[in-house]
Amino acid sequence: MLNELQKDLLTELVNVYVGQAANMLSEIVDRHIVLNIPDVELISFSDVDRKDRRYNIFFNEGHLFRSSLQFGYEFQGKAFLMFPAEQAKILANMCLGELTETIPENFRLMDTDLDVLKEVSNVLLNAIIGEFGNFLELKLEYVLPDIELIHGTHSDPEILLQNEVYVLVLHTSFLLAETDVKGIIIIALSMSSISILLDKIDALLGAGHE
Amino acid sequence: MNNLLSQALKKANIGMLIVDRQLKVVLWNGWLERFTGKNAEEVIGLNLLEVCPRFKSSMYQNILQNALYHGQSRFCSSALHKAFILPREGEDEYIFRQNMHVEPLYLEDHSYALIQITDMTNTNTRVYKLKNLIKELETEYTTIKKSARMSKHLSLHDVLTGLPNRLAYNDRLAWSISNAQRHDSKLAVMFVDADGFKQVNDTYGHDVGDQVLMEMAKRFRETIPSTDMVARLGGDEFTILSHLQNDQEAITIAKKLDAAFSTHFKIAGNHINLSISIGISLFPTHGQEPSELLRYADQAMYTIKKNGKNGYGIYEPEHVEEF
Repeated sequence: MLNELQKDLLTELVNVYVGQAANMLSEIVDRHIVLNIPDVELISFSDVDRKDRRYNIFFNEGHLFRSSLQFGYEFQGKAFLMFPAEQAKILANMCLGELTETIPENFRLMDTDLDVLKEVSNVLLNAIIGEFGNFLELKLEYVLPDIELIHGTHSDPEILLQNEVYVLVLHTSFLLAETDVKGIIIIALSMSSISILLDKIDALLGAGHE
Repeated sequence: MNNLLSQALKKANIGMLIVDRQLKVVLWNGWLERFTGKNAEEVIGLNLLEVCPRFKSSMYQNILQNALYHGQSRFCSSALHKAFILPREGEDEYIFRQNMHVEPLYLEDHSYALIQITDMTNTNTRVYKLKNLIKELETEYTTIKKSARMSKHLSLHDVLTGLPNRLAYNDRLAWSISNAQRHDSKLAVMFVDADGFKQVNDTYGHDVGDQVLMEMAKRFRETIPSTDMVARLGGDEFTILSHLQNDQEAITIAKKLDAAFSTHFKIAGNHINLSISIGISLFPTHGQEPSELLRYADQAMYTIKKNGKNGYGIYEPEHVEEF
């Protein structure tokens, strides 16, 4: 759905946005965090290739940490940040200064871990959605993210995404203390919001979107 | 209704305060009064940074600006921030943990930030204690597992040479025989004894004797294929279990073992010459039972000893075929 130029521009934009989030997180946890979004895609969920490892999180069975943030007004949709539970635990440990790269098999996500992850996702999703709003010069309203631990099975990737038609997928990587924690950000947008976004990108590229 | 609302604000079990765009406090609820000892009357109208010095940090000012100017909601966890509002004087500020929610509010053309403070001190203490307990249990479990592994190793190995002991050898022999039966393959059981080891102990002492045994174990290990097994039964007695392509191969291995002892041992400045006697029994030629095969190999070894030591021989029902 995105051509190469649009994809490049969008990737650059979101990397600037998450860079700001990374600075904020670094200040909070008092250690250097780098956030990377190497790849941005605008896809319809039915187009996802199940063999594409980057989408394993949807098709593998296991526990997932999911944070979701609803936003609305002129630019509308819902943003999700998802990690396999194990990656979420590593990230929480790192933020709390418990530098363990491996975690025991029967690990638990404690209340404090969930609070840390809620804040991390809040900072990250706010940065992305807020900056999209600035970029589009549109008024936004959004609330605190909801967080939950869910058990994903092979059959319910569609439920995870609540049947949104087109989604922006940001493959996300947190680098801190030599650990690379991989997660995924999904931004489900209404069709009109997608058009607004593409129009603005095309205007910026000087190409004009039909 | 307004009266009910103000009662609710007074009694709510969370801290609630509202600031305007100039960060002037416009609401300060009962929880904050109780926690800080500062009454609403003395706080309202003051700048938040004067009332709550923690908000002087640029991080928190950014959070408030984002709520006031960009409508952003924000959650800050006690695990990362500890506390935002300090207690009344005389209380230890370091023990308190608080979560903070910042939400934008709008009235007519003005925007405000609602700051909600939830006390997390007890939750954090509970989680901290639970984490410590889990850590202790993990350490305990690792120690137990390690000591169980160690006991298992000790129960199956000879302490001096580190070789498997009689128990481990018997176990492996029984397993190898049943495996060989299924695959129609051949085995050799070798009984090896050092010639004149008692003399080594008597002449050089037990410390040197122990070092000789360790050196013997090393030479055995280096000589036999890695798939075969050497064990120490006790004293200067060793057994070897070899997997064979044919019976003749047992002789080849025995020759190699013999050759491995052609050079003297150099221990604590002493040059010690030591030969070995090897008795061999074969599976399936001589039997199917582990004890039977060991007994025949032992008999073959004694025949070698009787006939002048330093050699190897295969068990024969009537006599030992010597080489």
